[in-house]
Amino acid sequence: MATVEGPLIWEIVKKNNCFLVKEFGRGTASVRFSKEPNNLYNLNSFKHSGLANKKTVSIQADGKDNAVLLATTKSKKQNKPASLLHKSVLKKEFSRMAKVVANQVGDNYYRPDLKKAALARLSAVHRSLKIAKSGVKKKNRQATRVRGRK
Amino acid sequence: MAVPLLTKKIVKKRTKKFVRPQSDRKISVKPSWRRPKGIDSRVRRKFKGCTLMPNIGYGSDKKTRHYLPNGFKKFLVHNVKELELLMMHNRTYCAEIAHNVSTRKRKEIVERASQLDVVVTNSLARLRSQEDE
Repeated sequence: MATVEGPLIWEIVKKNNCFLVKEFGRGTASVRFSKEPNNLYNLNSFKHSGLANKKTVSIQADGKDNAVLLATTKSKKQNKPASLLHKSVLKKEFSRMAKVVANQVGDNYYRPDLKKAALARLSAVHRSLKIAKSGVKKKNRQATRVRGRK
Repeated sequence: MAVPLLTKKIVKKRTKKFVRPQSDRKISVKPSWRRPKGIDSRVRRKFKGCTLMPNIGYGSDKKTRHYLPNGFKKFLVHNVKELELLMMHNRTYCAEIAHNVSTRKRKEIVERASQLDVVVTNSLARLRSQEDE
């Protein structure tokens, strides 16, 4: 986002920022999520942060029916927020969207570490759009399996 | 409904409360736990047949700690924006709508939750009475 080095921004921003959502608790009870649009897993960590990284990926619903917006940041426009994002609207079928995302995130060495996260987010967004369009039915939700607890 | 990732069985080693010794004898000694510290205390010296004292051994397994009986962890949600955080965590966390959210906004949250396949623990709250009328 800015022209300052990423790790420095992260050190400044990691404890408190306007996107951070904390739930109090000790140990595993505490939760830290992050609301930035370009945070694929909504986690408050350097890897996933949309503030502290020069290259970020965001996958969101685009408003129009079933379209998904894939946006990556341009590392050379860091000081020009208006033209920061490289946006592409995906409205084809799912396998094609997945191919585009895999290409733009992983296969062209943009953020290979986020490839899996991007694909996971894409399928989550896509599924939510599908359900939003067709209404909540049993069949487009995950099957309720009886938990195999020992 | 999302299926929780948790496969371990949740075991609570003790479900009874630890009551403070002698709280049954005097009103001024309340039942909430205080550690006995007297030099002669039978409870502190762990005599046979005394009240049991809480200790770290009663703690739950780390892997199932803070999990609800439905296999999810709880996350308090005030609006749709906060619900969206759970989009990628819908198999670990379930949402609970905060108590001071209005009926109108509750409906929005519940609807969005069903699209995102996030479990809401109190999805029926405040909706029931209106439909009865």
